[in-house]
Amino acid sequence: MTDLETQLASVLAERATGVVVTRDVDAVEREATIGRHAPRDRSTSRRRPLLAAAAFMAVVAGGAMVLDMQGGGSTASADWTPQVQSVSTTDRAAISEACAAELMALSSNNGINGTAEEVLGAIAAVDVRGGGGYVVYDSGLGCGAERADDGSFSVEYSVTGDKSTVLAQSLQQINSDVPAVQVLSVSSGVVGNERSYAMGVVSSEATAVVVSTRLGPVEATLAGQVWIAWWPASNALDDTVTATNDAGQTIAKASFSDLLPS
Amino acid sequence: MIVIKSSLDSFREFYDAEVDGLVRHAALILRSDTDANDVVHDAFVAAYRRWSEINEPRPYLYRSVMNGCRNRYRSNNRERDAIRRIDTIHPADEHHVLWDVLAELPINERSAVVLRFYGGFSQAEIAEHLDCPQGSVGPWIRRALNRMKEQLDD
Repeated sequence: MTDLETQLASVLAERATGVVVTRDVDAVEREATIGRHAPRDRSTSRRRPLLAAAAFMAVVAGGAMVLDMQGGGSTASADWTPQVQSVSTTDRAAISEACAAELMALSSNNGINGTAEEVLGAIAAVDVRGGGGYVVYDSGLGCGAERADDGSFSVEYSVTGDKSTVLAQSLQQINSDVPAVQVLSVSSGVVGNERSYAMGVVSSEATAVVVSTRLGPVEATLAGQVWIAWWPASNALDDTVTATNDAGQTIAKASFSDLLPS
Repeated sequence: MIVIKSSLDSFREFYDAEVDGLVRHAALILRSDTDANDVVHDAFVAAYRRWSEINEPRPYLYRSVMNGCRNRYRSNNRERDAIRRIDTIHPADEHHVLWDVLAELPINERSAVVLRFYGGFSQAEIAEHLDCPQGSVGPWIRRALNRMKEQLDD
């Protein structure tokens, strides 16, 4: 080895010493099993509108109460039971702050300037689960954040397709009619466990939005004309979103594949 | 039943033996413990689902992790810039110069350097892990070392 190679080996060994493994084999087995074998349980789906409504009410009314679907959804997995629980306002604020910073940077890079309020609008919904959360603004922009090793919240916003396209698409919604139902962004494989988020907009006629995933139907949280949904698996590009009205009639359907570049 | 248990036990044994090394390699390439843990976790989840079909798990996992690193690296441009800015506050001793130059290398060169000088892998093994022709590995490492030498000479 040359001196340079020896130095390099030394630097790498030194840096590697401080690396900490934060996962374990139980988490691997649990996630691999849930993603693959979770059967559909229709008995729980009847409770979901109530849970979603309760969660949304909590967000609007209290600010500190948010929907926590730690493993939430409508499948039968024991690890994935919907529940509403309190989340600290500190966490909620940190998640919102991290997401706002990310989206403002994205906006600025696209030549869109203004205050956060002007560009993003008010927070329409915050959906916090486990170690992370998903924030949706009045503008229709959404962003996911996860707790990092040091306790801070880091933003991982990997959107299917190009970020700029999604941003522009989202911003157009501010000044145009909201379609019957539309998927604006899908992200997956967010820091932490394998998971997917989807968000979009829906007409005021809709009272429920359900995302069809390979784990079964997942009812989105509806905040005004913005909907968001989350489920613990990645790769849902073939799935569909259905909006229904008060009478339970289907108003419209949209597909995640609409986001893919042609 | 015994066969299934044995198979799962072997997965756990393999996990325990390899997870540290895989996370460290990924962390050196991605410069983020969080990202490294994510990439390795995802690779193990995928491997678990195909465990009975995998004949040589170690090369499989390394290939899967290296591929995950490439994908994560390419999707994290903004985060990478932030990391560079943070790194520049360190004193500019030789170790930090090398570390900084490593951050500037294209992902394939960086991965090859980490696998060679941290992992101690041969060129053939690196080619297998990076899923590339063996003839590419030598030039990648040489180019990387030349850049580091130039930076140190400056």
